[in-house]
Amino acid sequence: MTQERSELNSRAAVVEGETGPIPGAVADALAENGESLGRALRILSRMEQEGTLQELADVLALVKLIKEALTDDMVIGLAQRAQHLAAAATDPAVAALAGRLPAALRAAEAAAATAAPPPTLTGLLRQMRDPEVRRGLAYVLNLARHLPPPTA
Amino acid sequence: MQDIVVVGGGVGGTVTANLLAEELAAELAAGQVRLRLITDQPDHVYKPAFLYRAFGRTSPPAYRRPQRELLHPAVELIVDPVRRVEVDPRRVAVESDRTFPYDYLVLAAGSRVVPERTPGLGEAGEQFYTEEGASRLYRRLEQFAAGTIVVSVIGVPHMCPVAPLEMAFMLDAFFRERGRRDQVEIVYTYPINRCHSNPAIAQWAAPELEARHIRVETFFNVERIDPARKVIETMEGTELPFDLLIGIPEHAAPAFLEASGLTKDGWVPTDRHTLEVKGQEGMWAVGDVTDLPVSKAGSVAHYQAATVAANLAARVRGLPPVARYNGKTFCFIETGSDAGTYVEFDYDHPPKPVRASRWIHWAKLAYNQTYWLTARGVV
Repeated sequence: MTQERSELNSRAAVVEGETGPIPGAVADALAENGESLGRALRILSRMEQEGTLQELADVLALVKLIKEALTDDMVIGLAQRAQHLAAAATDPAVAALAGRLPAALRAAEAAAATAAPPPTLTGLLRQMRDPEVRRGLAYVLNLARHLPPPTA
Repeated sequence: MQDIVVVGGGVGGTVTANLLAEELAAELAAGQVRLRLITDQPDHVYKPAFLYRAFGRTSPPAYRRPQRELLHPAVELIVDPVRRVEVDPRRVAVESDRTFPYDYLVLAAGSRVVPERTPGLGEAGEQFYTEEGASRLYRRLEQFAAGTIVVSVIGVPHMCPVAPLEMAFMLDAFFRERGRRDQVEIVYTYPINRCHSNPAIAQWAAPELEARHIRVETFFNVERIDPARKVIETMEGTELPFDLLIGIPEHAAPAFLEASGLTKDGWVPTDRHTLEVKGQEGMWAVGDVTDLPVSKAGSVAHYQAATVAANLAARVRGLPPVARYNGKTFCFIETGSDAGTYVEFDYDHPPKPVRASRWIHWAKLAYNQTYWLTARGVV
């Protein structure tokens, strides 16, 4: 390692007039990780030539932008909303309803898409003979019972 | 019952009302607090879109929403222009002769352009600080084939302090894309000895303007416009001819604030940290109406709204108000039609613009679409 460091310092001395000596810690790091640093530099160089490095720097500026645009209150507010949304989305009742909803919506949309005239009042009452319709209505009525906001 | 009245339906008033409605949800539900927002228009308008409107890149449905849709259901919306704010008794009088009592009042009524203060500007100048002005400029720019366009900052302070620079950059891009840039001279004028009131922004902008061959005239204080000769006459004794003048007019606080004796030198005297109106009890000011040395920008009103909502809610609950506004400001800067940068700064830290990129331009375009979440107080 001493020899490698010595070589590095020799090479550094060539450009010392322009850049100054390589600090000891940097020279040590170069000596210890020369191979991987060489590979990394080649990747970096290729990225620079392709313009990818500049794009990466520009994208990282977006991270800085977000950090500078936000405040503690905004982060707390966003986290609270994310927590509420996640809690609602993972609630078993919501998940069960969400599972049934697409099929129910498709059936309702298909029925609505037909050119048939709207059902008469007696026609609607006839639908009540269907136990599934009665169960659905009972579900909606139960839901309605619990929807009002709590009173003071 | 404690009455809270927010005057103004812009970003400051809307966010303040929504944050208060969330914070005081229990008190509102229990009928211990009443929260009203009074505004003169039924629609909420996202004013930064006017810059894009001037170039035909957006339309009213994208920047206009019913105010009611943006407000928390617990906020009572009154659409009725304010005529006067009275401090004894504490109440707000509106045009329809109704009055609304308040224990706590938030002034967030914004600012307005007053081109009539500059002789000739109304007849000979275009501007993009109102919806009508931006729409008219859009038609003028489409037809403008050749000649000199002057972007002149006439009144300082004005809304969105970087918008005149953005206008100059976007004009350059607009005419380049149409192959007419060599037939259009763009001149940018500013009243002091640099191209922006903020030294750091001026330092960044000067080479950007130069790189686009936009001529800059500083120490340029417009005295009057001669519509017949199409010439700007300055207090310095110079003249500048134009074919199209885009003048940033003087701004003023709404007239009712002056009539109510709540302004000093045109703006509402406001504590720079607590945002309380100086000399008034239980009254705060947010956004453009204040006399603070900060930008008259939507982001400022947004950040200030959080401070006012927190302190007002504390007062309602008999607690000491502790939130403080630190001068935080955030502004995107469009540097053409496909690149942008931004600045962030506060009372103690100057802005440091980052390299302009399409990514930041896209962030701005995305923000324009998600602004409605900001108005609702979501972020």
